[in-house]
Amino acid sequence: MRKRNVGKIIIYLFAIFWTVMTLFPLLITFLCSVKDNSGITLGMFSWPKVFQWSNYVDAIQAAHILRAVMNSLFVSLVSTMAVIIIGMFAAYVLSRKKFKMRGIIYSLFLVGVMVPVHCTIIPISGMATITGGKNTFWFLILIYIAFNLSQAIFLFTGYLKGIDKELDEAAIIDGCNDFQLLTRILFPVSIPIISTEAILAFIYGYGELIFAMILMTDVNKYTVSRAMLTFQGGYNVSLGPIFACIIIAVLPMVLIYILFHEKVQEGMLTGAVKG
Amino acid sequence: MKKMRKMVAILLTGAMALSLTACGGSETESTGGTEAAAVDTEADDSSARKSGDIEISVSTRYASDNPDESYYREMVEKFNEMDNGIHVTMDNISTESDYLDKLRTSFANGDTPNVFIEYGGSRCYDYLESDALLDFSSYLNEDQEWYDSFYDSMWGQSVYDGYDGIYGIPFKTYMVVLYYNKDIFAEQGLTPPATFDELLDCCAKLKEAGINPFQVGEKDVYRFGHFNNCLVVKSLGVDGVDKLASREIAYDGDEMMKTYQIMADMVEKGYFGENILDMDATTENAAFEDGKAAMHYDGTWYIANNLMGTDFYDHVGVVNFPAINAECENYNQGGNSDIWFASKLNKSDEEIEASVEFLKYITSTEYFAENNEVASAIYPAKFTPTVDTPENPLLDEVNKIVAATTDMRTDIQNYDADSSMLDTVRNALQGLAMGNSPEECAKQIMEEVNSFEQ
Amino acid sequence: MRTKKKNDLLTITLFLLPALLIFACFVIYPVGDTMYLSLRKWKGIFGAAKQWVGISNYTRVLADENFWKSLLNSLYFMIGGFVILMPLSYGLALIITSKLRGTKIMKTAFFMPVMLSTTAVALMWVFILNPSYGAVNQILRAIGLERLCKDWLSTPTLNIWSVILVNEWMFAGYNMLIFAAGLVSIPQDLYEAAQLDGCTGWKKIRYISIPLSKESFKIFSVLCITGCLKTFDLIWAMTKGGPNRSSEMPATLLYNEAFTYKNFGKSSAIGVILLVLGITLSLMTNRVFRREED
Repeated sequence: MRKRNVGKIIIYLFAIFWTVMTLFPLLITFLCSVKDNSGITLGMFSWPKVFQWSNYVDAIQAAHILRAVMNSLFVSLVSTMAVIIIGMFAAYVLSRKKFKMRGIIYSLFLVGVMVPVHCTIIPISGMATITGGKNTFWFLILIYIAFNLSQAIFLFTGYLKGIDKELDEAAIIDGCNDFQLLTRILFPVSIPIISTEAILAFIYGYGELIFAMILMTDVNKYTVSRAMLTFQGGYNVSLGPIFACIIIAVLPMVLIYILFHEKVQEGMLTGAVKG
Repeated sequence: MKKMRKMVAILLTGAMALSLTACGGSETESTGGTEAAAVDTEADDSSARKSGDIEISVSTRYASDNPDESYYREMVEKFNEMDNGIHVTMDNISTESDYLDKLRTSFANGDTPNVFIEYGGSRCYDYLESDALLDFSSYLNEDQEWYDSFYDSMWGQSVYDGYDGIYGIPFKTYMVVLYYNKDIFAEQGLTPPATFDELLDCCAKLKEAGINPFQVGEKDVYRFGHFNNCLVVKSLGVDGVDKLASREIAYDGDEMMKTYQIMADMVEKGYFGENILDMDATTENAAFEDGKAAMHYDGTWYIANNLMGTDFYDHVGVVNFPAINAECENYNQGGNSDIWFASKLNKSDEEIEASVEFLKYITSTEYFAENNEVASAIYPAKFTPTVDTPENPLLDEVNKIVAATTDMRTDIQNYDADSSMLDTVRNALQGLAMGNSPEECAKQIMEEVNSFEQ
Repeated sequence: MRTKKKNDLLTITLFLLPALLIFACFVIYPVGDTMYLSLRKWKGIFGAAKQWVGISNYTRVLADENFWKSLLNSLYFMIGGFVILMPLSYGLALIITSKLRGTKIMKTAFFMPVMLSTTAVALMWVFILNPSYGAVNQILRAIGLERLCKDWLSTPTLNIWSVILVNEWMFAGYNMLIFAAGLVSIPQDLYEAAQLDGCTGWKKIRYISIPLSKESFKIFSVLCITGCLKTFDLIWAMTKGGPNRSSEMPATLLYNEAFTYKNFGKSSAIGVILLVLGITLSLMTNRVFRREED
């Protein structure tokens, strides 16, 4: 019994250590958000001499960070939902059906996690020009869906494969068709993985910069990371407001993360059947 | 748990509703998915676009709150309010790599801005080769006054060997000068250096007194790049720059080896400061302003961007960058840092006319004179300063140096036919800061030279 | 029977269609375009001819010393991924899915670095690793290990490993989520049964958790390998590939060729090589996992 306690203490110590290690940046980011440039570059970890709250005013007025947060929330929430729905449907087929092209299609999706983003910029923005997708949210959303789909299908297929087929058979005997089987039985059972992918896809869309920058010219449609560029000049960088932007932007993200992650745990409580 | 689910739902719908009202703006061409987003168009887009206006897009890096960049944006808004049938859409991205990303992409897709800022030099050859740039010469001929408002020497970067015409309109000019901390110099009984030997002397004395002569932020490779430019210009003159480009002087020849050697020695003796590879230009500025370095070589923009309006202003002095070879005293690193170009790729005649009109407006002497009020600097154009121009003794000093300058060159690799030379040389010079020998530095540069020739 | 098959085919098509359509537009088409360009010389200007040059872009890339150096750096990233990131994330996943107290705060904290964005993380770590006033060296000095003080981000090879460690620190929480999703779906009664058999603590992890997380490990492996090949953001923010190109990654080279030098052909060739490498390595990983199954 004693041995177990020692193990437990070690685990606790490690967990606390890592918590401090990972929460620390939040504190530093906050402190930096109320400093001026030299306060940051010459003493990032020191307590600010004066609290320069005007950085927040700058973030809100010069970079319109609040509107940018809303834009980012909109784009990333819509794309996240779409990724989950489209991804689950595809994963269902790939994990439950037997057909000729399955291996090839599955491998095809694999390619998606490998493409270096800089290879895709020119062809994709070319499409945006042709279809009038520049300066529109829907095009950006489609891009975010595409870039998250591979990982989603990958995760979902793996998860669905692990779910006991008895569940399917029972449902089919009850007269469920594919659509009902997926939406009524498998969706709820897959909540842990869905929530996980939701968090990952959300984070991606919320912070993505390159496409948001290349496709969006209209100031009113800037997303968070694009808006933050306001403070990074060629010969001059205003670090304080950048950190202020980061603090403002991170709050909704934390909230969403906590809410979604609650669902990951829920999966455990409902006791998904896995064989 | 049920409660939680409800909360998620409320949160999601809340966020959606909010973003629907939040992401409005001037969306009129909205297609598909975002009609909802267009509901709210009250917008802070003050320059409401009149119907029938010609729309042109202008890309720059002027997004920051520096006085001259804010002034630029203000003036574009003013242009839009004028009744001239032109509406300008600005796209300002301040970070260099992001700006270039977008510009390159737009050229690849044929969806370029009408007017944009570039640096000129060999980096713009490719545009010319593909016949994508507008030749301004006929417009400048027609409007001689416009042409004459610029200093003659400033047109040098707008013409290209093998291509007839004038392809760029100068906008921002700089020169690299030497700033020093007057307090430190007084304390140490030093006089500002006039020759390079004196500079090295100063460095030695400062170092002995435990003060960093410079604190360079070489994480940004242009810092050593600029220092080497100065060494070349100040020892080989402007001819040397041209000969380097034509390979008459080799990057591994004695002349150049000397410049690498000087820098290597200075690195070894710690004249450039401590841990220079771990500091960027922003940190370098902060260190100088904090009295942690006695000298700072930088462009003339430094006065407007970092010194004006600060307590530190009065503690700074400025001198010509010291010459190695006395004959080269009045040659300097400088020129146009920002040049306007106009694209004719997929552009209608009306758009091109409008682009030219916009450029005439944004490079008018009135514009420069007023800009000088908010952000005094050196300019490519001649104008009489307005009465509201604040006193700026530092800039007056700079202007004396400019007046004495007989010729200048910008980044020396800008004149090279190989557009990747700039990066190659800067990276090789960065190697010196890591303790590489001058020979290694030369070898790295020559590898690129040789592979380009193949 | 035949109608069932027909129905199945319809379901398959309908269910896969949205994913395939989006995928074809935004992934397959750009990949095709990259392959096309990799055999041509193009300065990236619309309307200008894309001149056929055969495989010369590939030979130039393969003859480039910097490219091989960048691949080696990628390899370091992969080693770091399997030796450090994988056990770390798995450990964190075990912690947050355990019955320990305080997991709510922990799981938010562990994920914080990813949420704070690369910009903030990079700036901060560059500061922490600064040789003169950074925290790491100051701590080393304080405990008398002065000789271990290093210029973490400017010494070749060492700087890559420094960034790798920051990378693992940042993404441990990210991969933790993937592992956690697998862990929570392991039926509780398996653990209970094991408990009855006298299995406790480490043994439960060794004989139940780890074997039943095989799918997660497989997914992690593929994501890690492919991710390491295209690493860009963190290295760009922390070292820009420098100093003197010592921390160049394949993706930073690709980026520079295209957007700094406008050599779109050569840049595409790098892209294709990365893709082929990625596919080969993923297939090999799959094979390794399949062999274990047998």
